[in-house]
Formats: sequence, structure tokens, C-alpha cells
Amino acid sequence: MANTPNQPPANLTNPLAEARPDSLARYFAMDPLDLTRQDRDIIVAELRRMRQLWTQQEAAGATRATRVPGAPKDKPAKQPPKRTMTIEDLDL
Amino acid sequence: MSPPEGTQSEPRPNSSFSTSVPGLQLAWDSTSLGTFKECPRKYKFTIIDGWVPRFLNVHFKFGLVVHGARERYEHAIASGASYDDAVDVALKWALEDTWDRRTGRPWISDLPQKTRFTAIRTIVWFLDEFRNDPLRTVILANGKPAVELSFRFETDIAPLGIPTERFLLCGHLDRVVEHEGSIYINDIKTTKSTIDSSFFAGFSPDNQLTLYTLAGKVVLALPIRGIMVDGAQVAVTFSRFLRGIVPRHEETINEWYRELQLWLRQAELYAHEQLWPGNDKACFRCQFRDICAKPPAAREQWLEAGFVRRTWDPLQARGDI
Repeated sequence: MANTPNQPPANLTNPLAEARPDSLARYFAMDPLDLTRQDRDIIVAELRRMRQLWTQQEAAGATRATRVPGAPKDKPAKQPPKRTMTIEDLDL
Repeated sequence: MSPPEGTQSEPRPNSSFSTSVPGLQLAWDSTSLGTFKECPRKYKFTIIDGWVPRFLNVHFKFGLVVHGARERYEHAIASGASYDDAVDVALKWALEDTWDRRTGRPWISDLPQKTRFTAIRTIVWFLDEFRNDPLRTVILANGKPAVELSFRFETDIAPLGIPTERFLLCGHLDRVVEHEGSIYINDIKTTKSTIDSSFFAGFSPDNQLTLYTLAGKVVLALPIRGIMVDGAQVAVTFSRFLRGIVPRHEETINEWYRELQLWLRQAELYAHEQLWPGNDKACFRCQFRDICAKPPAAREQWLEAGFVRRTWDPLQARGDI
């Protein structure tokens, strides 16, 4: 269901449809001085639609309030397996 | 190559510093004071010398955008704009502020949680979340809303070497609000992490919020109860908000102010010695860690290679629109 520049988004029939951040990509790629009030209203409407979807998913338990993954913690490098020297290593 | 926007090739004179004692800051804000408390050498690098990383800190930029948008929204509401018109004012400003006019491209962030898109999303979701905010913005005597309020007041603390001077405290109050008969400072804090009780507990003690509470009492002569922190968790696909109260008791503020005198004495001592010691227990995630790891004689060239200069002057007011 594509958003056309001169029309606000149509009402969704499937509230669990995936949010479409790419639908705003065109507007976010434009010089903001070239955006009209109507363009910005479309941005706001789409962001509100995303919020509605997220809120519904939260309420349905599909998205738990989990901790946002942070930066991976530094872990010490794994030690290479210890090798026991044998008489063959001496090349005698 | 031109320095990035907001920086300069050479440091400009900083009006917050003494003209008779080089390196002695007279006008302090929470950023400069907090940096000094963290590590005097870091303070020397970033506040006195003006060195900042070549690319503007993402968190700083993100916070500025969110705060700036809310400020524009509040001013529009106070001017009589409708909710939707005020949201549009905020959105328009944020879109323009996150556009690099020199390159003709949007602001690029390397942090997936804090991007131009998530900033805009956070702003719109935040304003909708608090559309019917029980907190009322205080309207000043001049009719303007008390948002991004620049403050400056003189303390009764004088530099030992300049008894005719007084140290000043400066800053900007996000928003002053009234709720159920009490006055609070309202501040937005963005984070990638989940917001829970430990998030709010992390603001006590806190240099910035204590200064803000003191400033509200001194400058506005209002009985500030504390800070209402609006926590905004910003993730890749959502923004979630939670508001909490961070109280500040009178005794805590008095203690902070008494200790401020000692901190400023230290600052004066270092300025007279022209030596700002490094706190080598505060190096974790410090942007100057690699610099301090170099021998002192080599640090300047590494700073010039990896950093740019900007003047941090607490006396330069901002946001008074």
C-alpha cells in the first residue's frame, strides 16, 4: 500500500502489518527546505502509524521490554589449546 | 580541509575566563564543572584548549535535536499555536537542524539507535505521549514559556588571587513546570537502555541536576522541589518514555554549594600552577585516553591530528528565542 505524495496514508486493514520505514526514506532524503507542510504531515502520520503498530505489539506481548543490546563486552581472547611437546619436536 | 561545522581552526577568546590569570575559569556551567570534577586534565583539553573529537559526539547531537525540538514546540504552544501546528514547528526545525547544508546531505550517525530518523521519531512520539501533559510550563513575566531558559548568577565565592571578582554559575534550564502546586525543573534524558528505577536513581547525586535545582531557586526565586526527568529510551524500532521525579533536598544543595568552593579553589590552584593533573582512575571511555597514553611532549601533535577546536563559553546564551 504505497503512500502517494499528495495523499495521506490510507487506513490500514491489518494493524499488524510491518512498519515501513522505507516509506519515509524519500522525505528524509530531501532537503528539508523543499518539504511542504503536506509532506511533513505525511511524515507525522506515518510515524504515528508506526507507533500504533508498536503499541499494539507491546500490548499483545509480541515485544517485551527487553534490554536494548549494548555494545559487546570485551572478553579476553580464548587461550589456544596447550600443546604438550614430544620428543619428535626436538628433531633429533 | 575546512574544520567541521561548529568548530574553528584556532581557539577564540573565551569570555568565561579571567583575563589576568590564564586558565582560570570564572563563569562555570554544568559541563565545564562536571568535566573538571571528572578529570582536570580532560577539562584542560576540552574546555580550556577547546579540543573535541573531529566528529560531533552522536549522543550530544541527538540530545540537542530532541531538546531543541521540544523548545520550539513549547514556544509555539505559548504563542497560541494548535497542537498540530506546534508539532509541525518542532518537526520542521528538527529536519533542518539535522541537514548538513554544506554537503547537501542529512546528518549521518554511526549509532543505529541514535540517527536522524530515530531523533525525528522520538520527537513526534514524545510530543504525542505528553500531549495532555499534567505538567504545566511556567510562563514568565515577559509572557514567554520557561523553556531553554538561560541563567547566570554570581556566587559569593571569590578567587583568592582576585578578591574583587566572583565566580559565576551559568546554564540553561530545559523547562520549568508546575504540578499540583509544586515547581520542578523538567529535563529530557535520552538513552539506549531500558528505563527503570535504576535509571532515575543514577541522577542522585548528579552535578548537572543539582546545579539546575539551585539555579531555579536563586534565579527564579521559586521553591524548586526537584527535577522531573523524562526518560526516553531510543531503540532502532521504537522510542519508549517514562517520567520520574529526582528530588533534591535543601541540605543536599547546600552541601553541593559548600563543596563547590573547594572545587573552585582547586581550579584556581591549577591555573596558577599552569598544571592540570590527570585523574588516571577516570580513563574508562575517555576520548582523550590515547592522548594521555602518549608522552606529554607528543600530545599536542596527536591532538591536532585527531581533534578539532571549538570554544566552550558558558556565558554565551543559547535558545533564548
